[in-house]
Amino acid sequence: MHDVLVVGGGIAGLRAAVAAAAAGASVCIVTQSHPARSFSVGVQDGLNAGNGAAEGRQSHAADTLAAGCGLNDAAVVEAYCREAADLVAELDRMGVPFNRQGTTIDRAQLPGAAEARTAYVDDTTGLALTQTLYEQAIGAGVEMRIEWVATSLVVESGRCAGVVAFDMATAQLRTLPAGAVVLATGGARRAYDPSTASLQCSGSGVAMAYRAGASLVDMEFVQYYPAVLAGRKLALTPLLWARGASDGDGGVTLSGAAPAEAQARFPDTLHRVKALSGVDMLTDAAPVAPAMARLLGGVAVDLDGAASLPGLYAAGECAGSGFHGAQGIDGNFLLASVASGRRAGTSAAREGKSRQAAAPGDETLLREEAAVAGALSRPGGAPVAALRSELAALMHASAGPSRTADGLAAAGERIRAMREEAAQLGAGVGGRDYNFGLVQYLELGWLLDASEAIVAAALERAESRGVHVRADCPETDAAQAGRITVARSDGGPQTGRQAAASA
Amino acid sequence: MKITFKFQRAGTRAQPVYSDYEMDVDPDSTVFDALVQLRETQDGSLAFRGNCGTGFCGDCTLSVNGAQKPSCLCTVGDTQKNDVITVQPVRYAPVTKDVMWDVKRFIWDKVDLFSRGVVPNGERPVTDEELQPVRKAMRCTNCGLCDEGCTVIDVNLDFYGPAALTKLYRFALDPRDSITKERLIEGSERNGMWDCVHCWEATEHCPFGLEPTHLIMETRDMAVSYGVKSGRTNRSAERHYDSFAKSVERSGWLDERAVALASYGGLVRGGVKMLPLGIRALRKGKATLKPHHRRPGADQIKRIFERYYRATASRRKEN
Repeated sequence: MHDVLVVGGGIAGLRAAVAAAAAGASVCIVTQSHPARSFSVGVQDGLNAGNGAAEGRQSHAADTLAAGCGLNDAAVVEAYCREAADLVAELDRMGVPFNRQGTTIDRAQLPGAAEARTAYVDDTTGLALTQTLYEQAIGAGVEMRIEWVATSLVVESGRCAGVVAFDMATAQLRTLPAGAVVLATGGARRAYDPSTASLQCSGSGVAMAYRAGASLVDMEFVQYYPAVLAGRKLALTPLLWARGASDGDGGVTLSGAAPAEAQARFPDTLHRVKALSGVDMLTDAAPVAPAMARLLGGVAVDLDGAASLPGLYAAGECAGSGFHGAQGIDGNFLLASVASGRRAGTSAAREGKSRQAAAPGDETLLREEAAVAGALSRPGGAPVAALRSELAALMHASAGPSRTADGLAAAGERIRAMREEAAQLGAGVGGRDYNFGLVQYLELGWLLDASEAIVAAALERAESRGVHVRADCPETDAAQAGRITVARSDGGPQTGRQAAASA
Repeated sequence: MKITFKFQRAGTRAQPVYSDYEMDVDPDSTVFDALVQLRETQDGSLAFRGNCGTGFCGDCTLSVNGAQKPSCLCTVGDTQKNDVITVQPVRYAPVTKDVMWDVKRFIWDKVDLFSRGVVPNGERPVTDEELQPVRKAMRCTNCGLCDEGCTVIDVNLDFYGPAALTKLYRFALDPRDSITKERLIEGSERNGMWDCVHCWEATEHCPFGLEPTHLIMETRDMAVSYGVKSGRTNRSAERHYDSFAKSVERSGWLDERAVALASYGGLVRGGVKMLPLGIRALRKGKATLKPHHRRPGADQIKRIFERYYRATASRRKEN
């Protein structure tokens, strides 16, 4: 029994775990990959944080609100922008080697930002944050269940009381009881193609919360990133444009920048682009194309990261905090991860420590065990992969950069049918030791649920706003300035509307 | 193109047992993506790691057609030989299942030893220049290729290895940290930095050009400047280091016998330990009974030492 259980070991999950441990909670991270191998390591953006002065905070908040098109939660924007300078200073003390100008942390001005406010570590900010927070978590005595897969939240008397999870080495399911649970599982990028998805970006946290009856919010806002290396999953860092990159023939090049300086600033980008596409960006243009890059919505949470289900918290990309609104700006995503992680971890520790929970019953465990046993006995493999590929193509075509009511309705129908088809499928192989067929099958289920919620919310929002573009309703409708929630009821998505909180 | 994937499922590296799979695959696909496609469509029991697919996470390190590499940073077309791609676990690391190797035993247990975060030394302003080497070391993804190439790990799995020592270097070099000397002492314990034989394989193997061998040498230099040549339980490195330097300072070159004896704790203890090896070396003509002599130019070498002492005196006083 832990006070706080964190599902997911990326930047948000690690930040939550470190905060919870600092607040005196016993903490355990359950993560599908080693934390230092989570996809957070691949985030090359910087982190928006002024130097703490009031004007900088206001300008940061103003840019964030302008991009969010009236759907931001103003209190969250105010809080994250206010805490940003402290979060960066704290990370610096922990060991993140932020680039400096003289002896003060340097800030880059990203395209579209009103001023220079983005702290960064060369072009490997995500890697530096992840490693540093991992070290802090080790130092704080955070227990880690690595290469474990969480399959379900445990809900006891209307509260989240832990998760059911299994070690990939054995696939033996266990209940991991906890005073409070923090979901930090990241996005659901594998529901889209093209995307910047890592293999494990499967929407598991969003889906688990949705299945447990928690509300999701802002699910219709799915943001594409314009400059992803063509045919690969590498999003070129926005810092490139702040430091001399230009858009040339068919791609992005650093040919206009001083070579030595470009090499020093972007060692990883240059190396990876060369390895993945054979292009030397110092002389030639790297071919790029837009690809789905993040969910802006997720599990509906308040400023402290608390979800609608008591005992449940969410942080990072799987959390619908309202910080981004209808459109996120570069440099705000890493900030959201550390800001929401610290808040959710601190709040979860407070709640988790105070609860004298009895060990939860076996109901969820038995249900999940039956589901896994069933999956292990059914055929899978290629038909499961085919369904996921079809889903990813469908979501891109119907719930991607341009949407219509008809397309969304048809996609919703198809997703319902796909769920029935998926119910007849399974792992394809029967063994329990490192059964990736089983994981692939579980992931398909999560992706279908996340997609169902995205489609329902996108259908409900009959207007265009931010990254949600409805070809059949191209105008923004002032009457629809509220946020849309999705919760599962009677086996299907039920949408609801909140009043706008941005005003 | 149609590729035959020979995927090691049992046996040893020398005597592998493969399962063969055929699959149509885009030659421009990365090997990692192709393997995922293979697992997803043909056999979900195939065990290998990997996550980000773009070279950041360090999780997909494999032996592909005999070369150890991150499988996500090479394409099927460039890698295949006669339409065959052979997949094996990396060398030296114990195997968990198929080509999945024991990354905890091989990397994390050691890396975690050096994972104590920065202990801030107050608010001393730090320049960008001071942090550059820290950032460089921070780019290490712990992919394990340096450890996989390490000739010391080949014979001693407990050697901390270049990946863990790169992390030690990062913290030891961090100007914001206040426990540098303690870290250097920890890194000088048995199986630590002094066990590196500077074969430069780690530098050869690092896919990101981080030069781990060089970093280990720099860490040693730093240890010496802090007066640290040994851990709390391990004195042999200090004895080796001092006797090596003394021998060169006195005679202009290495007196191998004296250094060997001194490294193992002097004439008596060292003599007992080294006797069998010494006899074998004599028999094979690799050692001689002739007395060690000063080489020509030894005076000039001594002057280099004197200059070094003068140059480092002030630094050593600071520590």
